[in-house]
Amino acid sequence: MTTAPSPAPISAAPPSDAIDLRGRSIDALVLKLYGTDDTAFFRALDHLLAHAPDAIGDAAVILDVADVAAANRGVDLIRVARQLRTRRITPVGIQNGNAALNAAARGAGLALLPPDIGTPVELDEQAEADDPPSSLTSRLVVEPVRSGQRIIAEKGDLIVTAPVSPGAELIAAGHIHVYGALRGRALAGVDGDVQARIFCRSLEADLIAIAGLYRVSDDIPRHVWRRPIQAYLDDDTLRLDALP
Amino acid sequence: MAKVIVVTSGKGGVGKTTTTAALGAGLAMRGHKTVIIDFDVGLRNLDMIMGCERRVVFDFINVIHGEARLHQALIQDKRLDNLSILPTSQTRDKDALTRDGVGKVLKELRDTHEYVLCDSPAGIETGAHLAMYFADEAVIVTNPEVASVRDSDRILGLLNSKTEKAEKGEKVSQHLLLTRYDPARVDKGEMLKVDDVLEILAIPLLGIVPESETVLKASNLGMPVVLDDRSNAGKAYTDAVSRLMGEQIEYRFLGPDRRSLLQRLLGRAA
Repeated sequence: MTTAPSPAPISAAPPSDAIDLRGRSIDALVLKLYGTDDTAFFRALDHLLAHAPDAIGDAAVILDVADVAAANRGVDLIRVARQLRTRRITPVGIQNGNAALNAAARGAGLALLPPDIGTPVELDEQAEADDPPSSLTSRLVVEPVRSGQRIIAEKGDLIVTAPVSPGAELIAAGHIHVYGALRGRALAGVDGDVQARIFCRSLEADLIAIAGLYRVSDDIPRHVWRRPIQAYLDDDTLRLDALP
Repeated sequence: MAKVIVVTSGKGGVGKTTTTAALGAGLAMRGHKTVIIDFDVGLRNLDMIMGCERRVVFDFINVIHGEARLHQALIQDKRLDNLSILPTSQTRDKDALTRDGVGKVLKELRDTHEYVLCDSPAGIETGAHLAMYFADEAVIVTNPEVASVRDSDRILGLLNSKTEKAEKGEKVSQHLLLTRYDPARVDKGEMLKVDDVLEILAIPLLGIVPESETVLKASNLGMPVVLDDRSNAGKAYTDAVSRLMGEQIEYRFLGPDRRSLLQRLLGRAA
């Protein structure tokens, strides 16, 4: 028998709990610099802050310098960053810069961020207030769901009081209830909710999935086929239990 | 005001045109002024099944494009006074149909007829969509096999969403017509049972038409099968017409053929 090589000494390395590096995405605001008259820009900014003091708050701010780059104009980023900080605004980086602007950003201690991350979200003060109360985010369907139809309950549960045909698709962020035969596809907990469940009167589905874990009809055990069932996640297993 | 009925299926070759001709002739035989329209632009078949292909001068597309008047394109059936046929073009394609044009023609026909039957092309594209768009009722022609049932189900979904009635929040009433039904093959498990089909499609059953050689013969002769009152298929279509008009009739031709062995040996007469 050969002996396993002894592990390399680790005494020289710093203790592993001294650093913890993780990736995460954050919400940030994008402030566009036009590279024209600084005075006009800061006057407009002051006007905004005077009328909506919480518009920016403590959010991280990304400076979009696309127009400055397009105009091939320079901008003193060190000065702009300082001016922003005096207004309690925290610039974290720039995006859409050219070589010169990127160099200036490094000099100003700003990160270089990739061009637009996702689609811009409209900043609407009303948005939250207009959201319907949670009981209204469920969706009720009373007609048969036919092949080729796709019914989505983006935020809540999906309840169908009719049969769901093969080739139809039900998608819900929450639970899915089918008070009829479920013959199409049903995907519950699509935003990752592992607590989501699927209930149906007769399981004849093409596919069922909860939080991304799925079974196609070939993987559905015969003793629950055409039976009333509930489907749920138990650790990393998609379980199918016959209902009484 | 006339009823506009679309005969549709999704899948091809299930018997839409045969059904349109049979139901149209059946309604006309009962004294209802009926017109049947071919929406299958480019694959003109309805006029052949009706045996009037040599009398086509102008067609549906000519009328839509203002190249002919409606009465010039309508062909009067030689056997049934109450029946006319609006043939389509063999040289154009489905894009020659426009929603406005179809709407105008149907409006004019509604004023002068009791029943307007639209023979839909297969598929779910422009032709099929416009054939169903203005319908009040739909006859879904389905064969007892899974692909046909699946396609019919898709069509039912479209009837509930892509029609003028659906857009107004109303419902196109739906009837299932099961065609090419072969009880012997159903018994062997080679075809779906009526109940299996009804369980999936969940709409009222208008009729069951048995698989029959008379259908092919009638189509080659240019004669609607309903005019052959001795054949089972003809009788089944006659029943379907009665149910379409609201009568309650028992379903026939569900069991296997009861002809004796001797009769079968003697040939396929009757």
